[in-house]
Amino acid sequence: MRKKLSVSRRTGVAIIALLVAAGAGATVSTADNSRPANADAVDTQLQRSANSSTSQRGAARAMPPPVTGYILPGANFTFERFMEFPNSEGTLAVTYNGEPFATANHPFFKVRPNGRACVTCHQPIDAMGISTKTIKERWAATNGRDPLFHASDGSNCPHLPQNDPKSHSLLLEHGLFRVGLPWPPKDFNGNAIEPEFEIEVAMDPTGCNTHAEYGLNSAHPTVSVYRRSRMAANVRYLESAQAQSNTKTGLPLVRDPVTGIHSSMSIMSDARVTSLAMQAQDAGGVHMGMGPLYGENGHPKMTREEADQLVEFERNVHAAQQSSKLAGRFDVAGTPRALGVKAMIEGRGNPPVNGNDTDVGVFYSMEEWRGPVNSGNPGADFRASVARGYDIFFLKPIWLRDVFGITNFGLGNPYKQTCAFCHNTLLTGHDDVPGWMDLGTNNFPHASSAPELPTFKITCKANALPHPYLGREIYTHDPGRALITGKCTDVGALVMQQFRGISSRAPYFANGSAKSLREVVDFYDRRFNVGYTDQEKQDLINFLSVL
Amino acid sequence: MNMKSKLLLAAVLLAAPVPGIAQKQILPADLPPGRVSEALPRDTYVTGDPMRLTAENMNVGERITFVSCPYVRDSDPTPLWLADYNGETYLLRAQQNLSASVRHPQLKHRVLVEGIISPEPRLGSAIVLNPVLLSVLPEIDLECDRLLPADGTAIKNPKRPPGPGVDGVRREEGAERGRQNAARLWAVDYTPDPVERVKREFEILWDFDHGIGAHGSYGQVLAAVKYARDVEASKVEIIGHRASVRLTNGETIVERPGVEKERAETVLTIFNDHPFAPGVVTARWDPSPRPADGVTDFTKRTVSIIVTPGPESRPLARN
Repeated sequence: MRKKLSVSRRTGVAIIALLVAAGAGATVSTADNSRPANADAVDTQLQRSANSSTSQRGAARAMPPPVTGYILPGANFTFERFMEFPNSEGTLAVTYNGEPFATANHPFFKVRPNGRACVTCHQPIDAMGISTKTIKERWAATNGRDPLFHASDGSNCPHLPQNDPKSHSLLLEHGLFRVGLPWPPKDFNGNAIEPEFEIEVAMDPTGCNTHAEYGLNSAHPTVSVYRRSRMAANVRYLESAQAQSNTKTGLPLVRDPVTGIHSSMSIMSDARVTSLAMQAQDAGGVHMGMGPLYGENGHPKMTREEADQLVEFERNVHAAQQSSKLAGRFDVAGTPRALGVKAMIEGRGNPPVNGNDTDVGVFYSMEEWRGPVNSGNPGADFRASVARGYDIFFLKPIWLRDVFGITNFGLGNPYKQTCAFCHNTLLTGHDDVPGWMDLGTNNFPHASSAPELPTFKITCKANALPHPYLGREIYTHDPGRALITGKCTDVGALVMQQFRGISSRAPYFANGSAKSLREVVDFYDRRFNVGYTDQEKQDLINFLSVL
Repeated sequence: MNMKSKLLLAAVLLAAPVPGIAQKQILPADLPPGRVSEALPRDTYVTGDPMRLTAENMNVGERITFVSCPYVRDSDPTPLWLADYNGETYLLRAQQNLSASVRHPQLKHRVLVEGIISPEPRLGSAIVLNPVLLSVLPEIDLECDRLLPADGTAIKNPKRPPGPGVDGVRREEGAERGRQNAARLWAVDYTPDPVERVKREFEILWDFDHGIGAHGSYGQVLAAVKYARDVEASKVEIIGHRASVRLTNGETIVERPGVEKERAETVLTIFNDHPFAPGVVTARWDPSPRPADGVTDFTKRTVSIIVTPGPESRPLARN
């Protein structure tokens, strides 16, 4: 079943579909005239391959139509080798390194007990995540009856009237899903962990954490936090860590209980799973009404075999910005090497490469786009701005201060370094060192104002090590990793995300507190007292927007 | 050449020449310890990357041990960590990265400084400590919150200024070697390297009050793990300790209770990540703090790993 698309999106995707089906050197560029001279002559090998594949397939048997918009669970489309979707900055490319397939019978698209599928929250049009733009469109199209808005986690709390959009305000306005975690936390064997702190609900705007059935004092004590879904593409870059130990703790990496392989701890925001397969099973239980990973609820849990199929699929999906309205297409000569989805396909992901060196570069080099500030050519000016933004990201020192997970394990607090020190992994910009950090997006006093989110008071026990910068009494919107480990030092700490396809999946940060890239940059400017100029901020935004 | 001479020579050798600055050939050994010689060019030998205080180098000069609020002086190209004590300012270290052998202090925390006054010339007004140990105390102290602007004081030849490194390709090669070595050590079918099969004790030193993540401890424990696998250990005993420190002002401070258990469990976790037979590796800890003597205190915050070789396995008979 096809979703009704907005006019602009429908028009855009129709153009793409026509071009791909026609087997032509497809472009949907809205680039200006400042593109490199040979741009028109350079086609994308990826698209040629996709077109060739489509042509051959068409001759052999009928395939469902290609993916062009929002995909409902169980819907039948062809998941192509190369797909391109418009976004606010240009286009996003999603690729699949395998034979095109019909989605109807694929486990990623299969309808689960609560009516959802993996694709519900990991949409190709949104870089395998989901944006509030799409979420709002789904509400409007279905009057809130899309399984996306399922009461269990697609509403602020299941007890609220589900036909009222106010009951889904966190999802609609901030892209946040409810994640109910058991308290006290449990280990991989389901055994309770004795926490180092007491947790109280200080403010409960959703009513969920104080609710008799769903709250902290219910028969099954639960802490409800609200988080964004993460991008289910380029995941092979996230699966392993560069080193063999966790530099931040001096301990071995945690092993996946099924495979015995050391985990990167970079897959979920609270690092509660140790493999992509475990993530699939966790999501089956938490978000799709299947049996939970630990314990029973009457539904069978996702089998490991099915989870492994999902992993195999996800490892072969890549996504990145593919063109810019101002800079042109990224599959033409003269484009910086890191841009476009081809770089993601070709890059080494497992184990990842630390790019925070001048002879590597987190996003290689942007030399090709250097230029004067005001050349009079909008395209050239934009490209030059991107190159400057990369320089700021890669080279401009700032004082990283009071960041548990960065400044507390031997480097010093403050630590004068660059953005790329933490966002160091080649081509993705996530941290190659496994672990989580308290950037301040959740914890007071640094968190952005978010009265819509719950606030918890954390009181650390006297015999526990305090949080290194916030002490033994902490107010937080989301205790983060501490809800898994029970450790006071972990309060508010979360695993950072990758940068790719970022223009397709606003809002940002795990708690959706930044609605735009401008708000992301403003947060860092405020958090670390950087003092970016307006030009520097715009350069950073432009740089991020093309990833 | 005695240890003191070696240390001083090392200090000179570590200091890269400063382009554009005339180097006067005066060895640090010529200077009276801890004193300023106005006749000397400043910053000639100071690298800001001190050596770690060890049992081998602990007698090369005048020892000073104190607890103080550290503070940061911004500097180009790399910030400086300083602390005041008893009317003097001490250079603890310049900012570097994780390859530094001495950890960096933290604002919002006091630091235990265990160092030796170096004969290197002062940096600005600061006496250089080298070798030194810096232990960030875990409790928060909001008084420790000074970040000062640059005043011209600078390390001329820092080992690693802020910003990206310059040796990513080489680092990646090292990371790959590390992964391969680790994979070999993790393997169930490990083939031991030939070593002398004797009962051997490894001592892992820890920062004051720290139970996990001792600087470089993972690699040191791995050396013990490798030895245990090479000798097909029949027994590995892990024993955690805590200790006291006598400060220069005569006071004694004692590590927090329980840190000895955290240390032993940290080491046990690393051993348990490798395929030893059940019952081979055991851990225990001694809750009573080792007494302070003002000299060897930093050597008593340890985990001892005692490895007993097993009977040598015979090669499999081949048909």
